[in-house]
Amino acid sequence: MRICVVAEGCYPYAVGGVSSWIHHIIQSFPEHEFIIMAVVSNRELSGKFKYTLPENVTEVHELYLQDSDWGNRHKKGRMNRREYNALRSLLLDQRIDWETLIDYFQNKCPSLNSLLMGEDFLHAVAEFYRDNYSQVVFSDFLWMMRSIYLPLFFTLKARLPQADLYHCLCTGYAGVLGSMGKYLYGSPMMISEHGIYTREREEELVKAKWVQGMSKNIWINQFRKMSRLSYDRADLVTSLYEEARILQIELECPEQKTLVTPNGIPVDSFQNLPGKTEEDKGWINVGAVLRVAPIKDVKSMIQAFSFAKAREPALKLWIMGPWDEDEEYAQSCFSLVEDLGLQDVVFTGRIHVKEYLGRMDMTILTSISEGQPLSILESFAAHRPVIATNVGNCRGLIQGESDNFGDAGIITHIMNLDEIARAILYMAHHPEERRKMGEIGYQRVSARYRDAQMLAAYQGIYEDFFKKEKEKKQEPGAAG
Amino acid sequence: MASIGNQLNKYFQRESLASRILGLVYGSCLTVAPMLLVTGLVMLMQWAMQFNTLVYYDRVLFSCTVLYIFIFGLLTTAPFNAVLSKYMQDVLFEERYEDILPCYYVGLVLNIACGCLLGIPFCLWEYFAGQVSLGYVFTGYCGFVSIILVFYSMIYLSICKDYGRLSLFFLIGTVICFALSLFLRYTMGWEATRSMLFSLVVGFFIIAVLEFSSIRRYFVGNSNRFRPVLRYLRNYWHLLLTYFAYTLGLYIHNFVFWTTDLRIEVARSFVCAPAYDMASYMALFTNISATVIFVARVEMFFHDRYKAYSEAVIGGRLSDIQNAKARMFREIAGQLMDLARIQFIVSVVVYLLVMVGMPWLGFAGSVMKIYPCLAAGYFILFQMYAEILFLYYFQDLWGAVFTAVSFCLVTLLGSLVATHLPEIWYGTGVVAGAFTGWSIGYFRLRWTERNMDRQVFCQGDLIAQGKGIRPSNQVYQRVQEQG
Repeated sequence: MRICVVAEGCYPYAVGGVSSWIHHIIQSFPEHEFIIMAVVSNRELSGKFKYTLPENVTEVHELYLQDSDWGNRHKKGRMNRREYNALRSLLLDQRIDWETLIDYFQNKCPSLNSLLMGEDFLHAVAEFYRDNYSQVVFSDFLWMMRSIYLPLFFTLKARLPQADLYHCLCTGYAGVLGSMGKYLYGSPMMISEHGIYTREREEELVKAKWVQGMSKNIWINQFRKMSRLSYDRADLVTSLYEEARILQIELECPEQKTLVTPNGIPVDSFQNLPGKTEEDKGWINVGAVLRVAPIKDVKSMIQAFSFAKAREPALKLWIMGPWDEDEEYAQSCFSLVEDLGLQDVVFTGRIHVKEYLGRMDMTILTSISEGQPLSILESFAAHRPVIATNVGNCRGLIQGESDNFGDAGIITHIMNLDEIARAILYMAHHPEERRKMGEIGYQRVSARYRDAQMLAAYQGIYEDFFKKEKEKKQEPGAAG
Repeated sequence: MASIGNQLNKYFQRESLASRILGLVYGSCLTVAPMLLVTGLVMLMQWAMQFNTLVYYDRVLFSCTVLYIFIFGLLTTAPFNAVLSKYMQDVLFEERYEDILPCYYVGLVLNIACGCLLGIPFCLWEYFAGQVSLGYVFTGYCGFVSIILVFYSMIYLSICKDYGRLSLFFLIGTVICFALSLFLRYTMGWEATRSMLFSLVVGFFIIAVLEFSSIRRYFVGNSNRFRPVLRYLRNYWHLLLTYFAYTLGLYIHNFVFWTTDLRIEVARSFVCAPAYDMASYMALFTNISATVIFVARVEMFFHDRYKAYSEAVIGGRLSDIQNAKARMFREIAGQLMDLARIQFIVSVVVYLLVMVGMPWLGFAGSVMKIYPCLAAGYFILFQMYAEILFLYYFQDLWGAVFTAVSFCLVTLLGSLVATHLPEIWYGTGVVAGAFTGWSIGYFRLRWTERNMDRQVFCQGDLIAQGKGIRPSNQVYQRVQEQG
């Protein structure tokens, strides 16, 4: 069966938790053919894969959210009344007629320039403006709306490969593509959310400096619209943990569509890892397996480590992961280490985690946003306790959600340097406690987060879909 | 034109009667003065040279030479001037003063080149077929080129806003011209027509040189960026066509009547229809004050409304924009109505003066029969011109093209038909053409009002246009191994 994986800003162009997960899923189901539909920012990234594609990936398609206009600008292609009403419903967010919009963009819209710079869009914006923002400068408002709707219209105009199942990794533009696939080809669609896309975008927008005032609200609402479409059209929506599932329901995902499918890792392969070497004698190693990127808040980690190091000189921090995603941020992290005059901080770059994890005494994660981090599961599989900020499912993993094993590490607040430093020192000064927590982590990961369990869940999901599809096709009067 | 309007504004804002009269005089000086000044100069020279006593051939040859110099000089320069004015307005708005001189030089080359294309073949024909002396032909050609330089350079001086200096240049040129003609005729013993023509050429050339010196004084820097000027000519070909069609329409009915029984032919090269040409000149003169009224009233008051609308578009709420738009179009409607009303009164007065006064000066018969209909035609024609300027304001270049081209074509066809009508209806072609153009301009303005939002907010592109064939979005395809 052909499965179209719709990924946004990750596989196969960036490494990370979601990308690794997709890669693993594809490798684990060699009996299925996978097509990748990747949402990327522009053509500069085109074809620059960070992963060696498995044999069963047959095609990669791209959607660029910033692209040139390849249509005929001079062809007017005015909307008819029905199409205009659909556009209006989209802007006003009133019972959006997505089907008509998809038909228009797929078959009729001559060019995005002619639409966004045209009268139909102008009139729809004017209506929205009169209803909601009639006191702001209109021309600024109009240009803002054009910039907000441009990526969505690129998405609606995208050519989708035909598949038997559209498996989206988030809502947003990927969710819109999946919904289009379902509408255009009648194939089922599912969403496997690792984080909660809408909530993550909201958090980003609230903090962002490039967007101000009312445009924040309009952008947030734009992502909500896309999420609502995705949840509404999806046949199944999975999440990694219970809290995420509840959030999905709050964001108007029908409860009966939701399912928790936790991450899984090959726990057994993390046994008997090489332990401490001669080099590590006398050191208390703190490991951080992550991409050096702002979302991981590496700077807070370094600062907290510097506080702890001042009290316990035997501490050594290993930051293990690539820094090519945001080189400017990585450079600022290197500078921070120098400015603090901090010794014993090692940036390893990209490594094989199994070669290093056994040498660590604990691992640490100070992210400001996470889903269900694989690095925590891997740490648990290697019998190592974890210090993590209270984001995503970190608390659930460390303190347990449905077991009584106990704490497998320490949870702190985000960016709370003192708390993080104290956690490091506590772990450093209580080796027996550390060992116990590592074992609890191992018990937890073995009980619920095994690779085989996750794959069995997806095996069941895929089979279920295909069975239903087969039945549908065999029904009398079915097309084809 | 806008800068003249601003200057006039200073006069009209002072509420006294004297300042209002000064404003009108000032406006007329700048808009119709060159035409009137040269007409007056020619009449003065003719009086001083006892032109009426000359042989018929010499008189007609001289009159036709001057007529051709003016008509074809205007036809050559008007289209280019329209586009180059637009370029200069934009350059000044962006404060790129060093781009003015390249614009001047490009325009100069284009105007002179077009002038040569028109003038040289005609002069060769005049010399070889018409057997006119080489000196006379060459002098006439120099006059043609000089008038092109004068008409062309005038647009730059309106930017300098040194109108006093411009008036002074014309005065200097006129005085030198008149004095030189007397010197050549009575001291050097030249023939009357030869001395008049040579003096006119010298006068025009002096005005052109003085204008050029003034331009060099104001615009010192030279960026040598010539390509953008040529790009404007390509992008704004609508303006080129509009002003060519409008100027051609002003004279095309004369050309038609030059082919009828009214025609006279001199030196196997010049043709004219003195009765019709005189009548059309009087009709033009009857209504020319419309230009002054337009500059003084319409553009000046409207400009404020347009500015208010532009400001609302840039930084206002939608309701502000709609209100400003409504006010602006009310202003246009009101001003067009006022223009028609005031022009009607002025035209009726001038018409009566012409009808009563011209016979005393010896103009009667055909001229006075042809004149009334043409006067009506020119009345409508200048109303139409006001509409063209409004359309240009709103960047409705297609509207301006439709108006001017329809005016020109209908005037041509109407005049062809009118040649078969009685004399009093000879001007029907101009009436029909002007009315057609006016109607199209009016409906186009109404259309512009309805589509103003689109005109303002829907121009340009949001994203760059892709070049060539769109690259495929599929970037990877696994090659199936053949079994």
